[in-house]
Amino acid sequence: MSKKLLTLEDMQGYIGTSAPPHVMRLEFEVVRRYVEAVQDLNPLWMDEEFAKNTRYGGTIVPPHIFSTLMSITHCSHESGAIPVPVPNVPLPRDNVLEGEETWEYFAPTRIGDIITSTCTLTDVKVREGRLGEMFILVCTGESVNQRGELVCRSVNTIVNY
Amino acid sequence: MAQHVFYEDVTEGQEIPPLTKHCTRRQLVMWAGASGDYYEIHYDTAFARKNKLDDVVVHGRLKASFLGQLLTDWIGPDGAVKKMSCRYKGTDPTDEDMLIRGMVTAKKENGLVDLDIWTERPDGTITTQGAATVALPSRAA
Repeated sequence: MSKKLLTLEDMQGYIGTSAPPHVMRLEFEVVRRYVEAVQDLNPLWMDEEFAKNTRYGGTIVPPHIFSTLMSITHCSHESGAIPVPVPNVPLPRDNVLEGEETWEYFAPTRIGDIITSTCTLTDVKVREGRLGEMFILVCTGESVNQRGELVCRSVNTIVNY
Repeated sequence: MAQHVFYEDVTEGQEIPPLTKHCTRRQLVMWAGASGDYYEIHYDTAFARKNKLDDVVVHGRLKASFLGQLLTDWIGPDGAVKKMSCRYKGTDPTDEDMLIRGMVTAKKENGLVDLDIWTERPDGTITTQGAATVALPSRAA
């Protein structure tokens, strides 16, 4: 390959770059597909009758659905394209694995909420690993609802090798 | 699932009820559709092999969702997950049991409880290691 490989220094120049905000309306069908894929049939997610007698007074969406709302996952649509955390940041190597993630929740989210998520590259490191030289990309995400309330903050680490 | 765990009933070192999952390639395809993660290492064997893997692997974030389910199943409808983290230490193949487990590590003020959470292969290898903080209802409330 004649392509010049991006260096750590090149990548550090992208720190602070944000992805365009990702907006998702959490329709019933979106939540249904999610809980079916996970096989998580908790009645708090889909059963209004059950949920109205809980502290939430109605159904909420599973907090773990935020694993699908930020950064890496909504970016790869073309065949062969690898998922990238921030689409306007190039990846220095060809392969991606998810490394480490944290989600912090501040308020419940309900079906019908419109969630706007942003993701910013906040750190880049290089490490030697099992698969050779690995770039460690750290992205910080925030999701707010239609009322402007912060509902989730995430920190995602992607391993690029 | 509709159980009620109260803060007063929890002890440090206690293991919470585990979940067992058994991911098929079909489930990974369902996850791809539900999450929008269409990376081919999760459903295309030839592609996975080109990427230095033996075969397709379970999505990390599907495992994270299993850990979330472990917590929400345990805390019941009157608890709340405050924070959850996980590190993807190893890959998991399809068509084998995955054990999703958790243990209480600390009881704190205001009904907050810390846990270690993890996923295990049948041979005991931990492939996802994480931690969580949940809020539990009180019997006094």
